Amino acid sequence: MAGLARYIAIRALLIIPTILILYTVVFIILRVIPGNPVEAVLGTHYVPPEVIKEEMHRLGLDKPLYVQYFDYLWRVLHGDFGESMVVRGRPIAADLKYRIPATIELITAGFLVSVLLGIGTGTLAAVKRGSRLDYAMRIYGIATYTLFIPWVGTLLILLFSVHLHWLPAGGRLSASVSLHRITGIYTLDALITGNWAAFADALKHLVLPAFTLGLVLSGPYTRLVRTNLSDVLQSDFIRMYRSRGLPEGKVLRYALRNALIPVVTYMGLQIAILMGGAVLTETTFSWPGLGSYLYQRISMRDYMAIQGTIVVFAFIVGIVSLLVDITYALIDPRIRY
Amino acid sequence: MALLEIRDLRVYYYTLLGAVRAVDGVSLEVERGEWVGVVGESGSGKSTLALAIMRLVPPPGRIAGGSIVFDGVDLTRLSEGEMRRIRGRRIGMVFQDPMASLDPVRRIGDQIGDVFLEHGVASSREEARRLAGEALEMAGLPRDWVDRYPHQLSGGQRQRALIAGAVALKPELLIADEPTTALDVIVQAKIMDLIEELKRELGMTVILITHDISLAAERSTRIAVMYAGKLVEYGPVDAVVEDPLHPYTRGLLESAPDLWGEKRLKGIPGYPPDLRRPPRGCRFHPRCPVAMEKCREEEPPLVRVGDRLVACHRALMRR
Amino acid sequence: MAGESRRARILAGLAAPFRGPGRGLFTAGFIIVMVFVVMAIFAPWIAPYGPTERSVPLKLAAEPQPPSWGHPMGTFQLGYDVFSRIVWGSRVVLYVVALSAILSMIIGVPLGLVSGYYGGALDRALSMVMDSIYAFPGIVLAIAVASVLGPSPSNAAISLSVVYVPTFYRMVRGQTLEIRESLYVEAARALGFPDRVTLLGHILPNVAPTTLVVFGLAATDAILTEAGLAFFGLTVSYPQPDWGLDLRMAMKDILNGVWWTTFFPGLAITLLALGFALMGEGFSERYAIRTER
Repeated sequence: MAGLARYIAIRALLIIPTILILYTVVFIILRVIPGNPVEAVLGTHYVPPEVIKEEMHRLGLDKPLYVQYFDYLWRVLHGDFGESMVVRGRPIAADLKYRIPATIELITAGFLVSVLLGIGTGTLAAVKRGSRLDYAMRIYGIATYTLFIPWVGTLLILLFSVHLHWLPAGGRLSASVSLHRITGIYTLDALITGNWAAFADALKHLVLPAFTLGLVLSGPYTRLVRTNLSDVLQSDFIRMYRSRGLPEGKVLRYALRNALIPVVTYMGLQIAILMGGAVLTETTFSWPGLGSYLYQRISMRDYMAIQGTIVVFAFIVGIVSLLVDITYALIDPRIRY
Repeated sequence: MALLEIRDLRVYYYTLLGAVRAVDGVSLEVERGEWVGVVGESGSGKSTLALAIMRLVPPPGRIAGGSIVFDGVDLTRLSEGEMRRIRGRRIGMVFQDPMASLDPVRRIGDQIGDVFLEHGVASSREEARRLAGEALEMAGLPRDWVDRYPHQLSGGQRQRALIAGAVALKPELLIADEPTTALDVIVQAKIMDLIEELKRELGMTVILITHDISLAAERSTRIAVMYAGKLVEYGPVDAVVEDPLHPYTRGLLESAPDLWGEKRLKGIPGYPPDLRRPPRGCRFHPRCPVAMEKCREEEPPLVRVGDRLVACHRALMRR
Repeated sequence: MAGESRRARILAGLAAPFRGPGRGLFTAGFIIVMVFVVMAIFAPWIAPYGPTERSVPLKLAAEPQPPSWGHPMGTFQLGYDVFSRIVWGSRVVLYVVALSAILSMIIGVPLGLVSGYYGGALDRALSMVMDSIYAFPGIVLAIAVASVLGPSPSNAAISLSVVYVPTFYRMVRGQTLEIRESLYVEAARALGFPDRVTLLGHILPNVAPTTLVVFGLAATDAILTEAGLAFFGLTVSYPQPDWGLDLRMAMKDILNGVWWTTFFPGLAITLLALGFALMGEGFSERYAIRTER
């Protein structure tokens, strides 16, 4: 286990440059390209130069760029994302802190849905290789990837909210339901406090967004599971299991265990797409996470908020890929650490 | 009564380009306690024969006809569930490539333990693990290797682990399909010793499938020679090796490595036929050094000659 | 004579994806894409109304009107014809996607060639930067860049190319590394050809087919990302037509049970993306190119 700890430590060190590079790219895009963000925020209105100067000073934008670069990095590492350029005196960190759990809840649920759908459809295709069903699953794998998330979202809202009245069209919790906020992940908070009414309500709100996100992202898993599993099903050890009288169900389970190892690697690559998809999903379902925050602040040209949100995205990407690496090391005994 | 009685067995692979007759009308009897070597080139149908006995012929292959009577029961008529109770419990099987025949992500002990759990011998995972340890020991590996993963074992050790799993429930019949082909010569001999020892201890019957006639000759009581889906010669090992009746058997013996395992003396020219469209008459005639006109026209029947069977016009003329 | 056989070879190469394995998928995708391309080119002749033209009497313009003979896809609020706006919108979408693909190729392919061919510190630094960008959610990055540059189709194209440069770079770099080790490139180097000749004359032609596949995959992605940018209001300003933006503007309609104002623009996005995806799938099946996706 000491080996595993070392492996995790090395992996953790390796994500630091990734996050730094992303931070730098974000900094260049949002601080260097726009020239004077304050003027951009104020738009075409005439504002006296002293006011602009004062505003720049307040936000620390009058310092040389390289000073701003390290300054901002230092503060971000201490959880300080500066102040909103639009809503005076509002620390961005407070907004982010409120919204991060919502995004994490959505991403986790969407991820689970996509993996389950992908494994299910991919397994069907592999077991019935060459059949009509296999062909249908192949089309599923290609077509779901090309679905535009807000489109799927609106169709689902139309069906399940407007026509059938089964599920809410947006938001995270009904106004009538009260919930004691602990982690900010509502389904989890409801479970911790044993608040079943709130749990059911939060889950109801989560179903459509999570399904939308999961459906669109399940295609690559379908393809991957299909090819891997049909390869594994033809391997010698599957024959060995059968020759010992194991029932097909069990053989399939062992085959899946082998076939899913490469899928875990893919989950790491999928994170970026998952988070991108979450931005659109949140905006479609008015889910109060980082994505809808980004949407809101872009229309206000609140560059400080945009920058903060994107830096948080960079951190999440880094941390999640670390988690994937660790999972991989745990499930594949052949990895030497 | 013979332990295994195969009658007119036909196994075809149904491809888009026509049915490949991998096993085409084979009849074979194996007595209890025997060690039968089944010999032939690759593509002769010997591995398909082994899989057919286990009812594990992969699609698009299917048993197209004939019967496989094991201890009085026709295996071809059993339901999948009934067949499953025979696999691993009454008939064990060992495969060619020990590197690929173990599940890379599960511990050795769990893989062997499966048989005990599946066939109701063990009621808990702990018990299955303990029994798996005993099976490992029986196959000459340390008991505590149940915790190892396949990648931590060498090729010979893996084959031992596989044998341990195959004989764990003391089956009556062990089918070993090229068990040593992937291993080096010294390990090969040790694995064969192990199989022989287990056969004696457990009172098993062994069918050894191999392309190497000298390996088959070493320990077998009888040798069956297959060519292009047909049984061409079957008889006691001494008789077959000393005085082969079929020209193909003779060819195999001549092309076998000599005593020192070094150079091949003489090969059989040509290649096995396309089994979608086998040649008319005797299937061996295009490659046969002593083929006659009749061999081109008429398929030779399998005929009893003394204590053996042979399918060759020339051999029948000689007697 | 030589010219003729060259032309024959090129023609055969162009026809190849329509033959052999994967031809069904490729042809289906090709037809879908061509329908949209034709739509974009001949928009003034195909669209019955202008993009911002009130197409129904004033009293009907206050509410979206359901599909009818005169308006096969219905109308938006203000009386805009949905079908016409989809036709006009295809111009924006294809312009942004094509421009971004060209930009990312112009930047990504040479960088990949140089990086893979020379190696060294430059290669390591570039790879690290490109890999980091590649690992970041593309649409978020595009949104960030576009929000700084301001909403316009050209700016949207620039934002998209920031996302897709690493895709081209990684593929080309990997291929170059492989080809560099091959015999004929070593021979060319041994004969003392200048690097420029080796790169352009020997390596680039070999990298080209893979670049095409990457182009197909990136195009699928780029269409969806463009739609996302439009959804965020970062490609054109309403009431100029763009599918993603139309969908966004019409989303409030669905609560009244109005489906056609969101359904058709979204369908257009998904169909066009599907067209490119099918082409890419068929093409990679034809040439047995396995890509990570």
